Amino acid sequence: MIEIKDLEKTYAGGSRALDHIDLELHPGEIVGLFGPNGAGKTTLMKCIFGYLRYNGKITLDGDPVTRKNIARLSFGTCEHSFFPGITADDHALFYRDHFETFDERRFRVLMDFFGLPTDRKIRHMSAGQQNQFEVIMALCQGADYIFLDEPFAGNDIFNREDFYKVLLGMLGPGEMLMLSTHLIEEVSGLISRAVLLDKGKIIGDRQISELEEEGTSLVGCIKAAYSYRPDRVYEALDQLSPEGQ
Amino acid sequence: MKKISSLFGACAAESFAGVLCVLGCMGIVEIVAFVLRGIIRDAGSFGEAAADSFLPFICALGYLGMFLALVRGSGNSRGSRYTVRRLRVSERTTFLVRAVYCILCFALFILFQAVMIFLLAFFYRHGRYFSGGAEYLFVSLRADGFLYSIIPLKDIWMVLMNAACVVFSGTAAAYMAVLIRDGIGPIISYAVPVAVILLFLMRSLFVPFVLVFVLLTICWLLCLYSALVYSGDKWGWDRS
Amino acid sequence: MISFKEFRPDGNTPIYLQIVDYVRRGIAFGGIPDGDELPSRRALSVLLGINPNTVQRAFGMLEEEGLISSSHGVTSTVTAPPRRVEELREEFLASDVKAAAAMLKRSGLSLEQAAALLAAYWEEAEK
Repeated sequence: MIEIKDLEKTYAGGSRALDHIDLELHPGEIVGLFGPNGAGKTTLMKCIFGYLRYNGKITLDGDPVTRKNIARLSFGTCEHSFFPGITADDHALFYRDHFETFDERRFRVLMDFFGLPTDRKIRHMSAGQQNQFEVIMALCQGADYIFLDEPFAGNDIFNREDFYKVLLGMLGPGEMLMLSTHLIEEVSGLISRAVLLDKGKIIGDRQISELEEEGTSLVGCIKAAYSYRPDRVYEALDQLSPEGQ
Repeated sequence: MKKISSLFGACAAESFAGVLCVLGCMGIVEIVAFVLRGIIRDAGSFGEAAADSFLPFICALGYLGMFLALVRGSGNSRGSRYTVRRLRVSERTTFLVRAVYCILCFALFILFQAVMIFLLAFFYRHGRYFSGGAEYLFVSLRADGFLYSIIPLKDIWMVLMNAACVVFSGTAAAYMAVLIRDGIGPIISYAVPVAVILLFLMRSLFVPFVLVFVLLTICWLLCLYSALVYSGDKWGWDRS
Repeated sequence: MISFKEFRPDGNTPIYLQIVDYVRRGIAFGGIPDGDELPSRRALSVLLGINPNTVQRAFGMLEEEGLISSSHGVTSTVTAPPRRVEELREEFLASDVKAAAAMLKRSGLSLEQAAALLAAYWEEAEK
């Protein structure tokens, strides 16, 4: 279990990215992390990995996250954590040397499934392919806790739908997946839990089964949490229309 | 050991093409310049001075090119730091691996220059272009050239200076690569090769030369301290 | 093996309820015979692209109603003797017809008019 207690992160300029976050992540969960841009989703993930200095406490099964246990976490970031100058096969070799839990079979299956070339340098792939490769490496590292930050950018809907199904079939009961995305409706069936962030605070943490009991859809829950006002659109259009001027 | 060699391999694979490119270009330019130099010298005394200073400048440019190739490559893509920091290998070891690779590249540079000079000397052995004699294993084209003097085995100081140059350049390139990778900014990172070129140009002006040299040495020691001691095992170089 | 090819989720009701409804209707109206096997929880979750917990809830609900039984916790089979099928069919017919009657009444038709309308479209209706 990953336990986050009272996490607080303020950037050098004074802006507060995370404001006293308390969160627990358990194996077997598929967690959707939602929030507008700048809500702190990426910052939260980076803090868990220790890429940023923060105040508060983050533990993995009771121990702090250090080089000893960080191999149990994997990160698929929108900044691309691969080495662009070498090929996918080279990456497999590299990961095999550095991560004992690297799943080469899963790697081959996924590369094949997405039709990615294994002998081309990653920088020569298209942006969508690079995103797919990034996700593949995060999934094949053999981590127990997988974090994907906006993993579907640049992928068409067919790839995405197939990808959700592959994920569901592939993830074991001991693996936790947290993904941050704007595609709320698409992932609402896939996830088991939704965490909503706004301006660095958690404004909602619901199990999908709870929402189902209540009869609320995920989109409805999110709209309510962010105080979405549908009238905004009409107000703006009113101001723009000739009568409004 | 396997982990370190695979890191080395990743580092090398990323930038070796750039390194070879620099060496190749330099070789071609030097040959062309040398041929032209011969023609210019034969045409009269006008071009002699110009022709004489041509080659060291090519060498300096090649040196800068090597530096840039190594800083830009050798595993410094911004995102790859997320992977590197998740390895069981510490930041310190990663830096050392990269530094060793860069040092080897600069040593290759010196070796390449030595071979070029030897070849050119061989082709023009009957000409009047050399200031060295038979007692030198490799002749030096310019007796006082800073970077261009290749290793006369008679003079231990020249050997040491070249070795120091290689080590300094290698570690500096590795450190600069890390700074760029961690988003410190290319302007600061590329300042070092500019400083080195300045140093080269100022070599006949003793006081400024010494000042810049001392400054560079201090900077280099600070960089090493930061890489090996200060952030060696911590999450390093986080600009927030 | 029960095919879920015809399963079309709508965005309104929770998916687990929709799965339960799909299976119940299939049993009631003959598409799913007694003793037929259901896909495993994992296979169904992959097929429909939904979280296995959701599938688990649906299966759990069906088990509670006695419509399916799980052997060794892996595969589940339909247990629907003819009497149970009949019960279910009546249940669905009752609710569907009730809804239709309410709709027809709301549009202001009398019973005779509604019956005439029904007779007129009876032939055209697909089975």
